[in-house]
Amino acid sequence: MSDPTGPASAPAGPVPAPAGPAPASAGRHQHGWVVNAPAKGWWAPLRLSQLWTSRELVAFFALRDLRVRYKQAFFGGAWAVVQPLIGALAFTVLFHRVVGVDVEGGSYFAFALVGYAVWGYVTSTVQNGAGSLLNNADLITKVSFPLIVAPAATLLPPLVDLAVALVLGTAVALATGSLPSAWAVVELPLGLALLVLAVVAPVAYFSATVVKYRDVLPLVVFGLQFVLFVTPIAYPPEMVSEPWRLWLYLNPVAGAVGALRAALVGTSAPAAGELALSTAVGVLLGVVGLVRFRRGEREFADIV
Amino acid sequence: MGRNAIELEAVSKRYRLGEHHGQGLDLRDALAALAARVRRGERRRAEEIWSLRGVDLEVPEGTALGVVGRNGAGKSTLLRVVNHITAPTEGVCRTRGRIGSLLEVGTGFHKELTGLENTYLNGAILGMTKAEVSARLDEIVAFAGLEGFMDTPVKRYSSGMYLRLGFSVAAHMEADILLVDEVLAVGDAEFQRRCLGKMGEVERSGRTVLFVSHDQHAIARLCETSVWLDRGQVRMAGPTEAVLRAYHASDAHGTVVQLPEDARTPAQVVKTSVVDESYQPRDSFPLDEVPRIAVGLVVRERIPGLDVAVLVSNARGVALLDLAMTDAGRPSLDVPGRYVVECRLPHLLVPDEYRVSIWVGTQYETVEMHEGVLSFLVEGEERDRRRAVRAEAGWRAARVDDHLRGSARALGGSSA
Repeated sequence: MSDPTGPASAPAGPVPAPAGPAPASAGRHQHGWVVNAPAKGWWAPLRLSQLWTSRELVAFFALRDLRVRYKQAFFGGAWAVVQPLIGALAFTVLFHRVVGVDVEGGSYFAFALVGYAVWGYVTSTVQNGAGSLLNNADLITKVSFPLIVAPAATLLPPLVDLAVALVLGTAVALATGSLPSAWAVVELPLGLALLVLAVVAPVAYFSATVVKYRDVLPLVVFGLQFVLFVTPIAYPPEMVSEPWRLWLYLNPVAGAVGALRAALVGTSAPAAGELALSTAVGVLLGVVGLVRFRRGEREFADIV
Repeated sequence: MGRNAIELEAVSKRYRLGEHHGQGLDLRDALAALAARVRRGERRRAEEIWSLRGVDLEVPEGTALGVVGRNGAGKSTLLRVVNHITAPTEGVCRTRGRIGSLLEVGTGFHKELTGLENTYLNGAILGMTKAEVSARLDEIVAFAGLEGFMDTPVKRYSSGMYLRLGFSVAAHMEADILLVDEVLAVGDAEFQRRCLGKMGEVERSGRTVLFVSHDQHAIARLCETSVWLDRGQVRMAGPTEAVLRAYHASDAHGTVVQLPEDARTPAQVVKTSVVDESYQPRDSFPLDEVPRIAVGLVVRERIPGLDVAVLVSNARGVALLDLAMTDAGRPSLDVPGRYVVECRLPHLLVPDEYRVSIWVGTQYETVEMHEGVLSFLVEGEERDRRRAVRAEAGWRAARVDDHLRGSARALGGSSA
């Protein structure tokens, strides 16, 4: 940016500004200034637009993780196919054969594949996301970039595995004779959006917390195992009797997996109220997580 | 007068000890500490360091501002606040325009990715768009001198190549404000020259540069104005020459230093100075004169083998000399009393700024160590010489082609 007053104006020396609140500074809060000041109060602006302005960086981070993963992986892309098959098979043996869980009018294997896909997405994003700032500690302490990019980028690479597993699930469902729902065009994007929304809260909240307390990371991993039991992943929500069933949908993942299954393997869709509950909780928790992140953000470089 | 590019208003930055660049905390430790405090009924009491304290600063657009100060004076923290890496604890820092940083070049490179992939990734981290990097890719590669290596994973790069690519990406960003910290201490002489040239270019193009360095020649060359930070506060701001002079003349080190006597110590330095041949205190010496370090010493107890050493390091902090008195065959100061010890420095210092440390001790223990207590300057021109000291070597030259023929006399030096 060149000096608009022309090159004739000699650069004046750095002047220690007059102490105290200078009235001349009143007009300086115009656009053009980027302000660095301590955070105040309990609220922090979410500044979601930052994700859009730094979308290229988000993409580069996600690509970096994908590329590094596939450059190092022995099986390469095949793993994305094999893993959900093995996982869903384990679900089928354990819950379908041994426990006797069944789904009305469809293959349990296809049902389990979608469940495994959704749960795989949740575990990889929450684990990677919670550790994302820690993993980029070097960058955070040395380079200035929008820190939200690091956890945000961890939401993208597991989408590849999710997509592969969902395609597998759909294929198995078709092969066993259940047709995708007529509402799939609505239910599929809704389910995906709800799934991503569901992990925003834990990723944002725990990435900020893990910066300060590292041993929270194993706690998160442990907590996920517990959450699996109260999420209708291995069993259909219908197995939970009526007054309690609604409580399942306090977990946004329940709404997400319900919508995706309805779209792809032909199980009955969650009620509109249940979906609304999942979405509302997802938004609310997401805001809580993001506020936590934004409030902690300014000291990450000092404590990571 | 132009607008300001950077403004700091009463900026303070506090670090809690153990937090700063620490390894983070454990929840377990935090809970244990909390429990301990509750049991003992203590209030939270963390040790704190104010890395910056009430710094007011305005940097007009197009200025190259040098920042000097001792280690721990807050220079790096200042850059981190201006760069928005960390927020001030109090006060406001405002910047106008895009900030480029040569603070830690190459940070964010991933070893598994190729030079090209890393160039785009690093560019994006620094705030460049993909289109910008593409547009300047040829320049970046050429400046780094890495043509033909861009499809190689950077894990196969030498550290020099790594550094050159990092610097090149950072230097080709169109920044309005450029932050530089000691980057020139690394890389070979040729690359350092190119870096300095690039920075001069940036400054001449009307952009703002904030330059932190221990290399005061570089600051004097690049910056018209400078600030001197001392324990987190602006001690002085103004023309670089005056700031550097005042910085040199500051108390903590100098040409004559008196130290308070403490009767409890077994031996101590009470006065030390840099003097010339006629024992006058001097702070700068022409190339052909030799500084002497004088040390006034009180020995109160009998310490067998008590020795004095003079340590000299240059402006970049390279330890050049460690001269012990007994190494020169002088007897140790075993008998209590007052001594004056003089050390005539060897004739090998090149034009630079030097720091002198004084050590008193024996083979087994250090009684006293005064780090960087004295400083002096050796004046002169030292252009394009890659050396930290000058020394005389034994030279001989002979034409070997004549010898090989075994007929040097007959041919008289001519050959076909």
